[in-house]
Amino acid sequence: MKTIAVEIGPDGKMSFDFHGFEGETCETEEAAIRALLGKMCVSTLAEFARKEAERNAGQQIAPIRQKQ
Amino acid sequence: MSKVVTLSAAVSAPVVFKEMIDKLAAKDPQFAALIQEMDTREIIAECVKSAVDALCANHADITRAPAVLDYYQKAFAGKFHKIIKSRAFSRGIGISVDEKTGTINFSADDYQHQSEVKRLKDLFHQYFIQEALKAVLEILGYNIEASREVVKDANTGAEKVMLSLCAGKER
Repeated sequence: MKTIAVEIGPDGKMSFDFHGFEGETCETEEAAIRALLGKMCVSTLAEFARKEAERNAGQQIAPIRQKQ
Repeated sequence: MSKVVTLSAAVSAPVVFKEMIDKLAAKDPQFAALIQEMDTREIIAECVKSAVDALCANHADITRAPAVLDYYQKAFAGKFHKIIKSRAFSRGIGISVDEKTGTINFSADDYQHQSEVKRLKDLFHQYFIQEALKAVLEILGYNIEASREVVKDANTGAEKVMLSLCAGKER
């Protein structure tokens, strides 16, 4: 039986723990997981983070508020 | 003047580099090609839905909302896949997936509620990662059990959520 335990922290960071894998098989499996996750998340969240960084650098679209 | 804006997000994308695909391609070129060609937008939208379901099921103070409101309680006309709110922030946060890029956006008027909005976004992000991982592990043929633990920070007393997955398959 191959098992993988994954913890996801409040910051979204993941830690993997592989059991029942041997040597390269474990590395290949982790590569497959990360590659698939990358296809799903990096193209979305990383792009989002990049856009937000650009947006924050500009600041011009931040809401301007007036006192009531 | 108050308005609903797309919020800056404290997202930390999972660190995945091109080397991962290259490494995979060296072992299994067909699978690597399959991943590269896969259109994941529908899976992402499904993960957004599942993440909101799990968020609302596990946190009594968080619910779905019918609309995103601004400071003056005026509804924002944007389209969202899901909208969530909390007891502490009832204006709502709109979550949408860009249909071309798959980018997830949050929209809200967070005036005077920045910390609560950040908490909600961070929680959503955490649950989204869990759902994305579940989808990935299912694609790879694993049976999955998900669990959640709330821990208190020893110094600040603030509650932190730890999510975990246990996946298994026969050799």
